[in-house]
Amino acid sequence: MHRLSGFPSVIYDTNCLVHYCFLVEVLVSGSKVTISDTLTMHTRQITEALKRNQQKVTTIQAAYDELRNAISGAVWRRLSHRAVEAQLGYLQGQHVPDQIKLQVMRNAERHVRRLETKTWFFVNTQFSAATRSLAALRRFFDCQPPEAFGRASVPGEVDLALINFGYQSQSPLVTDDTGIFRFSAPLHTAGLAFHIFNLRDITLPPV
Amino acid sequence: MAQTAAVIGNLALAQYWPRFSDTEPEPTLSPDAMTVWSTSAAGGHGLLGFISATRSAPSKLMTNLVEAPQLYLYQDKNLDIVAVSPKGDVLVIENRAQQSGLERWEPCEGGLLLLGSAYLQTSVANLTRKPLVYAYSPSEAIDEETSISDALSKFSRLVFRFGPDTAEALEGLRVQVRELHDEFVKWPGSYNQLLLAGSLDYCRSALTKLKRSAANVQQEVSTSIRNYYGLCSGIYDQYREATTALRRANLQYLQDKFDLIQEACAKHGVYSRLEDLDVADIPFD
Repeated sequence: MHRLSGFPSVIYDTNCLVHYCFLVEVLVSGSKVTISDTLTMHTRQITEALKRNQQKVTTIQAAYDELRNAISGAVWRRLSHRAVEAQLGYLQGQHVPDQIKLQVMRNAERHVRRLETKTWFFVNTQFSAATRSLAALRRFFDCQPPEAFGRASVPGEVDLALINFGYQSQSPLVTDDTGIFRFSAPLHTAGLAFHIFNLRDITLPPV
Repeated sequence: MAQTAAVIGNLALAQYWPRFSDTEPEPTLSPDAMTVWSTSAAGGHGLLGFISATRSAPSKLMTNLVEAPQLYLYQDKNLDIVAVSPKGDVLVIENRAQQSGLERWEPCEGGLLLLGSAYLQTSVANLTRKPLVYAYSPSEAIDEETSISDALSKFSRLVFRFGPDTAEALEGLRVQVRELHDEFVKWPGSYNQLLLAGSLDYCRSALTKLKRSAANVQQEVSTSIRNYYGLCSGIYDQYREATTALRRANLQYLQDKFDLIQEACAKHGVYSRLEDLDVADIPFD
């Protein structure tokens, strides 16, 4: 957590925002069952720490625009997980109905809308990535051997814009995208990025 | 989505209904096939005819239709249409077998109403993926001497709608909704894709619950769901060749319509709003 200290604002990528917003209650036989993403609690604790430190969370418009589709993907994945199916009372081989997936997605979407009203969060609508910087980032990733990405996909346009946003604003980027954070050091060395941190590696301060 | 019969015919309207892409210059009647005719009518509106061959001796009406292919008729193996009698501004086609198929035609607001059984409705919807819509102008009265072909040719608009909601009709709609849901589930994941799949899944459950409701409630809710199904079918048609483009579409109007269905279901105690829905209340079907 100390790695994020001292910066007025911290950049979250789309997935971090999904993790933050994906905290939903579902009624099962009259009882409320909480469904969340695997990294939801971790992300919320980090965010709370940032808020306590008067730091802001930000992202770019393009990443924010991806949020709804990213949430739907997270809902599909999470509600297809056997443990969550069991939580909702479904036996092995039974699947969560799509109407419940929609219920969860719309509920998470309400969290997104609430996010817009928070003073500690803002979407940078003015940022425009520099064309030359984007081209340099694209060349950097194109030069990497496929095995360097492991199972992750090659960063897309929005990812490159986020990296460039971090560089331009000198704000750390938090992501759980392997295809980005595993190149943090070489990108920094090449002068193409500011600090990029793996969400999972951020440790919380002792309470 | 499963097609209930093979389609052959002179399909001038294939551009509007891509499912009718298999054409044959001279349609032949076959017990295993649905034969489709189409042509242009007054005012530039297309008319469509389709017949499935059944009996060795076609009915008089069927003969008329064969001779006047701008009209359309559905006939299945159990149906024998015996009388066509204009009554006032209602054109009644009686169905001797009273099993399935056409029941009657009548003018309605903005169109000509075709009342039919759930089986017919499902068959038509499966083929067209949308209600049959033509233009009409009920300016001329229909008298007793008018043949069905002449009578129908006075209309420039025909609207395929559903008859009173019987259990069979509700079940037919439920099957259609489920089949469309099953199609959307196969599409690439996105917010819009889940909106479509989830809302149709909700509608399917609501239709199951609706069978226990009073007739007036059935009518109100099923009409909303049928209209919603029509919108979703339109989206299916629009994006079926480019499913990945769906993620960028603005479907706010669809969400609004879906919210109205939930309101209607909740108001009549048919089914909970999505946000209040308990997993245990979802019917297993």
